[in-house]
Amino acid sequence: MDMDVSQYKELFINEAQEHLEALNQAMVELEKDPGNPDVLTEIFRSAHTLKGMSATMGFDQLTELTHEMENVLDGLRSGDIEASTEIVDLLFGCLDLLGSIVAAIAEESGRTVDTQPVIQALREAYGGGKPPFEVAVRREGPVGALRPTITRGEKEEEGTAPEEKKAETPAGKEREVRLRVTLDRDCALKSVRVFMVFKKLSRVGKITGSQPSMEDLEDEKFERSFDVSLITTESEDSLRRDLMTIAEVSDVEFLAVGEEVAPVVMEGETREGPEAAAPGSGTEFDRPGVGAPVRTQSVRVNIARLDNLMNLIGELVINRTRLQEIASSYNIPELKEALAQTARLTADLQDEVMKTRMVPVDHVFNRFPRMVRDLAKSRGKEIDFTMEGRDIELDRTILDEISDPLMHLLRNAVDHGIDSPEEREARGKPRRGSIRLAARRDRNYVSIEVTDDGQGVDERKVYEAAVRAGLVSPEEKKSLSDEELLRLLTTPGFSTAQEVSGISGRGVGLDVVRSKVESLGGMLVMQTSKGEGTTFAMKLPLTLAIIQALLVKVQGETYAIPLGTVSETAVISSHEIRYVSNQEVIFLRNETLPLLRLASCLGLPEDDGRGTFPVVVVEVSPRTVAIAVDELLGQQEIVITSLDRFLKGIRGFGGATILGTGEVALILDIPSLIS
Amino acid sequence: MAEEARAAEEMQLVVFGLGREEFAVEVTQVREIIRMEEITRMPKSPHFVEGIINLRGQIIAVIDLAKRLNIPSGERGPETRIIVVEAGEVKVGMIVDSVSEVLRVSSEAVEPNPSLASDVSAAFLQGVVKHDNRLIILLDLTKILSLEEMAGLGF
Repeated sequence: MDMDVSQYKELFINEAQEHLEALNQAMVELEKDPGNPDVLTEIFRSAHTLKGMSATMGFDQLTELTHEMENVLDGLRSGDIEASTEIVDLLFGCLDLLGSIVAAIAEESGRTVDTQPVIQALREAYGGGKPPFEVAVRREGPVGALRPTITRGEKEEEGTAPEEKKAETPAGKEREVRLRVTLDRDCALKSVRVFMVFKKLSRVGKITGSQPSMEDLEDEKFERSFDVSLITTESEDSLRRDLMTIAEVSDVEFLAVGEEVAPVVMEGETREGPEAAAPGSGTEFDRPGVGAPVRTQSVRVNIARLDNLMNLIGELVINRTRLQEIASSYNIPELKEALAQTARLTADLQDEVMKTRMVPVDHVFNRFPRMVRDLAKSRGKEIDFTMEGRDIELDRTILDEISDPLMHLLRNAVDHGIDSPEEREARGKPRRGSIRLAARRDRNYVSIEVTDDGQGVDERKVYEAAVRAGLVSPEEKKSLSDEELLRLLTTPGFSTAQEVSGISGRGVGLDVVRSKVESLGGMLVMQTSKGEGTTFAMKLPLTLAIIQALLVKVQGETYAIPLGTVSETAVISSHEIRYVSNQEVIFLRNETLPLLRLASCLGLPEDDGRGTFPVVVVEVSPRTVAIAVDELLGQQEIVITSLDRFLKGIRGFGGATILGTGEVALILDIPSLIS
Repeated sequence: MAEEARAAEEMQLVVFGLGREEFAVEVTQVREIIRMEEITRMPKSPHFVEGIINLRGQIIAVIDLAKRLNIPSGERGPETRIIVVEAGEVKVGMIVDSVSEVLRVSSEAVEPNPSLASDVSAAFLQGVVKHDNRLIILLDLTKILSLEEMAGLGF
């Protein structure tokens, strides 16, 4: 058995974190609407699953703490405990502690977390005198490490079919046995259970096979039961006893050797297949108000696999383009036709793979209500936080990347956007401020907006600070557009200046937010109006790996410019070039645009003799520049391949792409190229 | 290096010619050896970076090893090869004049501090292998591909 426990640890940590997020979210709901039975049920369910998982993995601290938390939750549900601020805070504290235990497990740092104070507080909250330990166990069914303490009698009571009389085969002789293990209906982390069963069995005998295969079992491709063949000297009784000590194993049956997969009817037994074998264990979890959890038909896939798949499809697309080029140069109609079909198929395939990488933004959003609540509380502000468009989907990688910037924007909104309740009242606004986090799908991008109804960015103060920082000369115009304001606020030196952030209330780290968004091919936009509030919007591409690009040629070299940044192309004659403070500029539609020659940007010799040349007008918020090239090759879909670490340090390139000809072209990262 | 501490272990070296000398890298660091191909120039990179190539969908950098070592190289021709090596976290192709053989030597045959002078700076050397009257210079790839070195070069 070459199964690796650490693999399950990772799975455990992922799931535990998901449950903790769900708990945090539900708890915020509960605080708003104390006593809502649906919310309580949800909290209960998550806490319970977490406890079961922890017990299975042998994380006793987690098990103990969740257990104590459950007792308090139980009190809330029964109405014995009131959802007061103290209780909610206590439960939040408990969640934080659980989070740090999970983090400690993830770090493998051996860091210890002291749970005793919280456990004490929880016990006091539910009137710790009576130990509701046993009670809880009985009511909610066998859970994790508590399992060994449950006697057979209790199991019978719970409705699981008794098994005692069936173990007749004597022990001692080495023989082949075949057994069927059935797991609890609500079993979390099935593969872990499988692993533990195999581990136990391999200690007492030699495993000769399984049904379904080991691989499928690891991937949890089975319902509730699986069969194992084993050569052993152990008696059936002792095997069963051994296996039943594993948490959430609800039943162990012995099958006649040689029987195949199909559900077997044991001699003298009227029992049906394993699915019907343990109806009792299903009802164990039927707590009042808890419906059967909805199971989605899904498989967990490692993101690296999806990336790989994406790369392969990228290659496929490239090869398809290549074949199309061959087909047109040799002019073979049949081939063209077949390729047209292939093109359609690859497009569909690409689409499907893209979809598998898409994740609802809620994955990142769900932790914000808690964060905003805590922040608001600590800053003495009253804030209504609302979220919209939580089901909008984004590519997983993009979503991961924007999590921190988003947190930053929200923190800014709480810290600086929303004024204190007193200030608000003095301004004739409601005491409670509001912050809205909204995701919207807009044609080819997703816009994520953070809106507050605070005092807005103070243009005059930003301007004054900018003058002091030497970013704006006092002679320059005094009225700033939102765009110019944002540009100032996101200027690195400017934004970190302490007095500025104190005055303008914005800026700290905004430069980081902007560069992150831009590195993802997106854009940061701001709208503010004095006294009414501010909106920051991140406009993000839906997916990362494949983009539309404009291919250009300069001095015989081909480069790709992401189309997202291109606003138009034009042809310019050299006599249209003007100079403004030594910078070449051109006039296009009444706008003066700085002209950048791509050749010189890339260290190539320039070809001055030409009368006309194409320019690509690129919007790099907040600037617009015209980039002079030798030739426009046209628009094309390209697959971004990232550059190796060896080359990552070279600025100006967002990656490379392999063209239909097999040639490698660099993708220009305009913002870093011109900065 | 760890090899020094251990008793005579067998090492396999990929031996190649560059300029007037013979060099080697450990076979464990070599991913593959490919023929010269069209290389896309990488602007703004150090002078010894020849450019990038597409290695089955992966984009890797190719360096001119002679330029990196600051020695003269032979002419590019049918014998010219790109040795794709991996050291640390980077995978890079190195252009060499020709690849001659894979040599098995005892780790004792590697002299870590050669008194013999080579055109190559001692910083890049892991040692010198004496084999059948030949002197083969064993390169220290981690140094040659070191990111700190790159940083020093204005990256």
